[in-house]
Amino acid sequence: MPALKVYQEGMRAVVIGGDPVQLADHGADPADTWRAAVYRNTYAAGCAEALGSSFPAVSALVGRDYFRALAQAYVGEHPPSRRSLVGYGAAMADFLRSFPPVAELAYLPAVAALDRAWLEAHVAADAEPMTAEHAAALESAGGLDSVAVDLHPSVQRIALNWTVYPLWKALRAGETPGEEALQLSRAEDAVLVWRPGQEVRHRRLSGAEAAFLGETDGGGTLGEGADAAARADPDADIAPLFAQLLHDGVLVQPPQAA
Amino acid sequence: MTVRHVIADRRTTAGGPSAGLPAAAGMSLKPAYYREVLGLDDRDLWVEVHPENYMVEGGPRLAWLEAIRAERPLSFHGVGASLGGDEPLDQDHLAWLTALVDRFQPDSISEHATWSACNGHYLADLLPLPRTDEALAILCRHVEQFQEAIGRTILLENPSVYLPLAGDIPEPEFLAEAAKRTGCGLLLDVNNVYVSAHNVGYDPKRYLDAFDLDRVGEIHIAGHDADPNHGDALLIDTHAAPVRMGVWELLDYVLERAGPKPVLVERDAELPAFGTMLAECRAADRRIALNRDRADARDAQGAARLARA
Ligand SMILES: [Fe+2]
Repeated sequence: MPALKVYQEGMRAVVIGGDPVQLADHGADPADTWRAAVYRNTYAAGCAEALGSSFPAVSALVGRDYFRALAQAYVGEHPPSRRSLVGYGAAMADFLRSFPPVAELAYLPAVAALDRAWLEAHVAADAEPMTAEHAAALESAGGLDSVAVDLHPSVQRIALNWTVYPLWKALRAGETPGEEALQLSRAEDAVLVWRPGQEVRHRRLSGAEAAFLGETDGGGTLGEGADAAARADPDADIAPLFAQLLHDGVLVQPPQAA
Repeated sequence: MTVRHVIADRRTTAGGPSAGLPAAAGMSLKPAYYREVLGLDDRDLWVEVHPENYMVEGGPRLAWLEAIRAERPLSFHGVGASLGGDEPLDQDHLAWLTALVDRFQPDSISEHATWSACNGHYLADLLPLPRTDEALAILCRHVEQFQEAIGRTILLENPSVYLPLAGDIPEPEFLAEAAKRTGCGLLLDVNNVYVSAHNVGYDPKRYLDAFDLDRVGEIHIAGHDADPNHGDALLIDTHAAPVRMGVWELLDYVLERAGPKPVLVERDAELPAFGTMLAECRAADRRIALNRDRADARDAQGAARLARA
């Protein structure tokens, strides 16, 4: 019997697709090695299932069987290392961008980016969003401009180069996409995905909002955010923009200011 | 100690060194069942989760688990530790697990006498160990380090075997020795015994006769299926079907010998309606209760004999 490490390396080779016959060198009866296919199947199916549940819209678009094959290629290139498959698939959008068989589906990476954002928001840390009442109290205490804020930990800002958002939204809601949603074209778009409480939400982001959030990400002041929004879109009305972000629960106060 | 006390003890402590689960049926807690389990009027039902599915920063999964845990006993059944792997334990995994143990204070923590990772590559499966002295030594070292890291003793589960490997130590002895050396308890999966006995060709009852039942803190029962390509030549431990009759019979065989124990109805795929799942748990409960009555009768007889003596 060879050392445990040698056997485990042999079994690993089989699990990822090698010939099970080699297990005869590691203590298995040569007549039995066909049974090792179980381990290969479990690994492939487990990883594919985890990817399928993390990328439901991608899976719905290409179909279950095709997704299964695609997942297998992904697993070959990006094998899991973390001991939990929750969150496995971080490189999916990049992988799809460079995977020749889906080159014709050029919008697929954008769909994967939205699926990934949904998952990231779903499992992000909990935090109490800043409310309108809170902002009103700060305003009467000395003005809002100098108040430092941060983005809610669940906030994902996704810049898209395809108009996939309506399609993705329909697929995530389990609806059949309408004609309009199926008209895909190359265009810049930005989507906000976040989870102010226990439910993931998403909506389009205007240029001014994106600039506001970009400035306050990691702790800018509200005044700096407002300036950035005005620079991005001189016509933007900052007061309702800020009110909407508060209403949506997108901002938090950094701990030292709370 | 009166007979009544013996009964009370048996209901609350399940035998194994780290087991704090009630000697009643438990259910695999899946997100699809959160809503129905929360507030469920079933006092003794306990739940089990794979902690790996909760290794996230926040969000609804953790919130649901917290609410349900406040109502009933909880078991953590790990699948990612790779205790039999010939490489150091994964520190990131241990840190996540320790944080979850601190937060949820599970009544029981279990893992597998298998391996799941090689050269940092997670193979997402419970792979078989050759039952050699070397593998036993590595397994024991890791169980000790694992218990040390999380500050708790664990239950170690017998694997389902598809591919027999050369190794001199019979499995019940291998597990009993691991428990003796590390102080851990054992989790006896009778479905795994049924499936392995069929696949490898041994008598499951003789296996159970050799198993160290005193150290068993939890029992698993589950459904299995014939391999899609090879049929009945290979039974797969799918956890995707109702518990088969042969497994119920083995459960009775164990309960008759071991007395009442916590019994998990393990289900991971093809989830049935919640009511169906609950009915299966109640069927397990009836079998536990039957054996509790028998054990009580035995205790009463013993007490009467002592009184006469
Ligand atoms: Fe099990």
